[in-house]
Amino acid sequence: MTSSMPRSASEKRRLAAFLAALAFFLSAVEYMLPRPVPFMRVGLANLPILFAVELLPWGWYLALALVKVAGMSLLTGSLFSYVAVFSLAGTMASALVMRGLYALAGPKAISWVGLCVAGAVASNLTQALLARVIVFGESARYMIPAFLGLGLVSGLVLGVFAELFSARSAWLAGVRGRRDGQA
Amino acid sequence: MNAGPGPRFRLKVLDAAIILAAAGAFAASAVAVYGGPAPSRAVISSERGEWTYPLGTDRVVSVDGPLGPTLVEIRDGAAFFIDSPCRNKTCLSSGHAEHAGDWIACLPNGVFLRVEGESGDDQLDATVR
Amino acid sequence: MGRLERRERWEAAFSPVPLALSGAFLSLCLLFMPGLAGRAAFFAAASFAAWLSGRKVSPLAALVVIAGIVGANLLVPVGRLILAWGPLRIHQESLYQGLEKALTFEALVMVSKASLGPSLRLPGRFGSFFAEALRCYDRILERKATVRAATFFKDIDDALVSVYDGMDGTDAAPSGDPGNRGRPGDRFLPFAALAAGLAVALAVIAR
Repeated sequence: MTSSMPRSASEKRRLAAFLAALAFFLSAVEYMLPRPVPFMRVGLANLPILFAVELLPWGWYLALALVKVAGMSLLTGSLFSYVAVFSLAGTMASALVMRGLYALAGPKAISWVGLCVAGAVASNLTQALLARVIVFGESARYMIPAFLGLGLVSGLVLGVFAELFSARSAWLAGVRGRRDGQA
Repeated sequence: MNAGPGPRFRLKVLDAAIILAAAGAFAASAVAVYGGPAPSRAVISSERGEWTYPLGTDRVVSVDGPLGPTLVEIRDGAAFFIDSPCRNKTCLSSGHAEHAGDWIACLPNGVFLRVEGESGDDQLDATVR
Repeated sequence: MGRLERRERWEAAFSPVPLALSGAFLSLCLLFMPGLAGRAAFFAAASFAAWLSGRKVSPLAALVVIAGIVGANLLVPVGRLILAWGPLRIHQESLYQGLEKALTFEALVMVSKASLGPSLRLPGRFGSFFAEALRCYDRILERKATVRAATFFKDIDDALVSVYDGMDGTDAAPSGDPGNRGRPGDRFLPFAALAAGLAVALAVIAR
């Protein structure tokens, strides 16, 4: 398996900035979708982070996750609210689980679908635990099955979408080609 | 991961394991939360109203009756009287209520406490002192 | 006065950094404010400020969130029974805690909306990376009109190729005014912060 990482520092920065911008855009799209509970999201904005698992080194990968949270919190004006806390905890849990699984298992043993489901469930569970402390108290236990179910469903949907996109995307092929020195 | 047009996507072993684990966790939590009995709680009633407190959180509660306030403590999953304005204070030695169906009372002050929620089928139905 | 006009006036009145710092301080004050009445007052004031700032504020969305949090807290009965209507049972402490948490949650959202905006420049390397991502985001937004449902994947992919290839290292940091020159409303911000701090201190002492 060839290295997935861009070759130069400026390429890494450019790719990380692009993926962050894509995360902002998808986050804005997701913000407009109706949701039953304010901090439960489908996870569209985590797709760029999912692709970054194989495209960026650890440092830029974490920077991407942080910028995604900070950026959307600033753009939606929620940085000082619990929404940002939920977003940070969920995004970091998801990012660490996806990256960790990819590092341990590799692309031969796990696909975008498995990574997405694991990331979504980790994110939702983390947010459920925070909800227990911050807003729901003891009654958070009644939310846990819903959080897990939504994580499973959204992870499956996004994972399949990621596989379909990955199979057809000229952009992704181009980025992989650049990193392999073919551009 | 699919790297371009090529072989159709197939679920890998770890994908299936993760999906099954997530589905299992979802099912188990749904059964545990929605299928099981409600957590135990102490329901205290007097002529002034009704109060409910979960037995899982320690606290001291004051409930007003015609003679004055009766103090109820909830500690370590059980509820018991710790003070009452009645003359003999018999209620203070009426023991702990901790299982569904248990009850204690301060009759002079009209304060009744019963436990609702989880019931242990392996518990005794009642004890006589 | 329309929302966009209010937004322009708000941005002209306050510098981004002092406004953000005031918002951070007010958020902290809110977290230390004891009692439901204080938090309700904070929520009312923050909602008004958010409306005045020209940010999109949806009363319906706020009500739904508040109702959701209160409803969730009512699931665990705590305290005196104050209303029993069929299967609906409302207990005083559950209602109080639910309202307190819900009003705090929404008040923090309103404070954030009033005090933050895209014109805020974050410092350091993280800040310049964030600014570069924002510029790229603007370009993606320009391309979103070219995406049609019938050719969804292809249009998205073409947009990604176009924006990414257009980045080619020409995204130098913008020069000029970082937006931190003093503005007429800046001198009122310390008073607002002081007033909030005093209110919290008095509320704590009075308890």
